[in-house]
Amino acid sequence: MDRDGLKDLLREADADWTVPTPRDDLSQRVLLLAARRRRQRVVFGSVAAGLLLAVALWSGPPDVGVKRPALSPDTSVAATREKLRAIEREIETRVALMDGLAVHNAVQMRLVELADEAPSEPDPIEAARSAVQQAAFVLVKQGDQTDRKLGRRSSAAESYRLAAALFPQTKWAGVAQQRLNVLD
Amino acid sequence: MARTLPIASPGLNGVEREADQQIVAGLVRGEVAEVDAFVRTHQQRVAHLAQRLLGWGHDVEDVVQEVFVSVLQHIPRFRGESRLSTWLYRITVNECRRQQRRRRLRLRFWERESVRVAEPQHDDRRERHARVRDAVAGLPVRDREVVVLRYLEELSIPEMSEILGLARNAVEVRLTRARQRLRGPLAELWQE
Repeated sequence: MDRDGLKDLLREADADWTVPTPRDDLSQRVLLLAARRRRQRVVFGSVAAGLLLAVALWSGPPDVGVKRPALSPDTSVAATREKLRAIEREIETRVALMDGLAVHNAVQMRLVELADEAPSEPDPIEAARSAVQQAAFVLVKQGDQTDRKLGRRSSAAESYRLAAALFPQTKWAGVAQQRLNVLD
Repeated sequence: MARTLPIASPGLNGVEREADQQIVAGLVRGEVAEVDAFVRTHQQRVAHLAQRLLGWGHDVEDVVQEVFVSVLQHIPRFRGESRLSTWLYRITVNECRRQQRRRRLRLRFWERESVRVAEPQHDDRRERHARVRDAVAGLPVRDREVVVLRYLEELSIPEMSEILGLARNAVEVRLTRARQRLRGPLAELWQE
């Protein structure tokens, strides 16, 4: 058996097979697909950043200047039940917040799908602005929930202060400032 | 407009490097005309290579499309250390591997492999060709790659070594093994 014999055999067999037909519109499809994937990367990055922020908030607002009351050693049944109810309320609040965020993300994804149908290129700056708006919104929403459902005014004020300080260019900074004024 | 790339070669002289750089610059800028010319110039070669690597008999349209999308996605990171054509070969080989991994997963979890039975041919020559293709398609993926690149794409061992990311002696070992595996099914057809 020699090497050239194998090569000839393979080349004959290959030549006998139908050659794939080139597509006329392949480059158009490739360009569209590449642009779509770029957009998806930008949006997924923003969503991931939003989710990270939400997870950070989930673990509780920062304790900057806020002193939490020390737990009392009271071990009576009534006190324990009250604590459990408070924990349940807090869980409900946080779940509601996550649901809101999920809806917001779904809207963002739908916007991406709509943008795919449009011929124009996405604006990465606009995507970044949207992510910043989203982060500010999450902080204000967190403050609202903490204030209205849990009655923790100091924690709520801290969330508003963060929103106003970290994202002063957003419309939510104004909302946060208004809420702060009301609380003060 | 994109210029035709010569066959992959690890050695890169100044003129070739400059030609590659011009093509790369156009692709990085995402110029429609440049991308269109590049795709038109190379789609046939990529389709042919994909068809061979996937063992014939499979639709390669999606693979070809993915190869060019991958080119546009990764071209900013192309450092020019190898020929653009070598890089294109490498992307095609990787995309075909991915495609075959996906196919294996599909078969494992929710599809049954349709047993490929060679249709009876009345023409001896065509029957012989079908047997040869089936024998190559039946090789393990890595062995099939070396056979295709060596005997059908006619690349040298150094070129294959660069495309597959293997040492030259590893390529030679793999080629010898693949040839031994082909001896069985092709014993009657492949004689000295």
